[in-house]
Amino acid sequence: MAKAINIFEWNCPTTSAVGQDHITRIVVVKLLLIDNLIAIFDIDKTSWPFLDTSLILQAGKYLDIFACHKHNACLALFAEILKEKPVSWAGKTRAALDNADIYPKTESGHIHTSIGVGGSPQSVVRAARYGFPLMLAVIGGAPDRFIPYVELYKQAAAEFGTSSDEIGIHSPGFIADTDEEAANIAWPAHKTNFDRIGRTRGWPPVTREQFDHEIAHGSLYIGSPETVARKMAKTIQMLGVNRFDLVYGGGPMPASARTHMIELYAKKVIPRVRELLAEPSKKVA
Amino acid sequence: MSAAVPTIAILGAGKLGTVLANLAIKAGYTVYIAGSGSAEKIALSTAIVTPGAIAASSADAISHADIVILALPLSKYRSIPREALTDKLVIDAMNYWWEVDGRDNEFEHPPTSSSELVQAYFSDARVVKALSHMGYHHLHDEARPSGAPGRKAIAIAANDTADSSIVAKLVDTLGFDPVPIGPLAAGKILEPHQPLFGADIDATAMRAVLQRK
Repeated sequence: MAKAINIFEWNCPTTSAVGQDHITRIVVVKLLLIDNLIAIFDIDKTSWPFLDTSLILQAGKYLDIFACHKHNACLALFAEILKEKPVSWAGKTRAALDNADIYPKTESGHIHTSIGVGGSPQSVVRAARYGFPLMLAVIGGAPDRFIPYVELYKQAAAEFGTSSDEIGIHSPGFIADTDEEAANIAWPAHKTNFDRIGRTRGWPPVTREQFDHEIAHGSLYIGSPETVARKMAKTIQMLGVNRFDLVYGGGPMPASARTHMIELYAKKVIPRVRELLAEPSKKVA
Repeated sequence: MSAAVPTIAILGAGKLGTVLANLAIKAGYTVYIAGSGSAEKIALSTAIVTPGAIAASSADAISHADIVILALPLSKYRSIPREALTDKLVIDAMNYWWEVDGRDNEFEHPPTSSSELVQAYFSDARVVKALSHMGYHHLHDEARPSGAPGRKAIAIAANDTADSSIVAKLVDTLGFDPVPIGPLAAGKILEPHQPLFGADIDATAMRAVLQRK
């Protein structure tokens, strides 16, 4: 089975930090589902209280989790580890390693690993420096804000002599049969999640108006299959990315709604996105 | 330096700093931007993410500026060269954000607003609190020309009314309605867990919140 990891770097000084808890949890779940071996959370160590402990413990059964501060050294070491060869290492952030090896090895010999960035230019440069694929974690606001980051990644990779072929985006969403139904199911779950995090971060409760605004103009991919497919295709085209991760069903939501969403995503949204993107001359409205 | 059109220095080349830099460039200001290190370290990202801004070291950026915007993590404010800010108008756009700053007793149980702590440290600077309460992606998405319907408000807390007016003009040219809310102490209301933190609302709604207080 293909193995993939997303590393999320979060260091958000403003209200957009809503994603850290939410997305990190989703990533953990995703990792569990695809049976990965290693995950790294390259986040400030003070952020750990935000993570859902039970999920981390569950994840710990399957994953070796590296927690480290945002340092070049951390990523440099991880890039070495990914080669799956014995590692010798000396740095300031951890004890030295002398020919240390990690078992078991993966069947493929390499775990596909992306770096998630939330908007700090230096995080983008860091991903390029060590040749990691880039995952844009866009959890609020219009995605066009990230256009320069794609360009920065490409130019930085060219300077460092690394690859910039893989660029993805990661945004939250929910799909139901109609726009109205999707928004009405997603709203209470979104509010529960957002307000719970807001209580620890100090921002006010989210309003329905803000939620609807984010669906219309921001980074919530919520609606019918056609609405979500168009929004996804538009973003993919605008940023020139080759991967889209939809973080689905954030917050408490009935299992039946999630199951139906997965079905709609696979059967309707994905084929429709591919169809919309197949005609590059046409701009998706 | 020019009295007519102030030169802006933004200390902090992260999410907030880059958004503010782009708004200021669009408004026609000369903008210097500094990260925590050398100008060279942010040269590439500056050229691509904030084209038109001049990458500089903190000291260099400050030396050119009439207005200095602090857009770095609050816990790092003591890393800024204090003497360089003497007599400068300094906009404090920082918040105590413990996931970034770490738990810090100074900010956890502060005797005053965080901007007053910053003013006390930079005692020879003129500190104004502004551009701190709205999230950076809202700042990016919501900037609108003066008089445009639905234009959002930015609160300004300043001890000096002349400084407040200078910042009000800047805020207006960046794309927001300035709302003076009183001295730095009054800026408490803009901090995390307070009524106007995260506020992405228009001036009328903001004044209503201020009146309820």
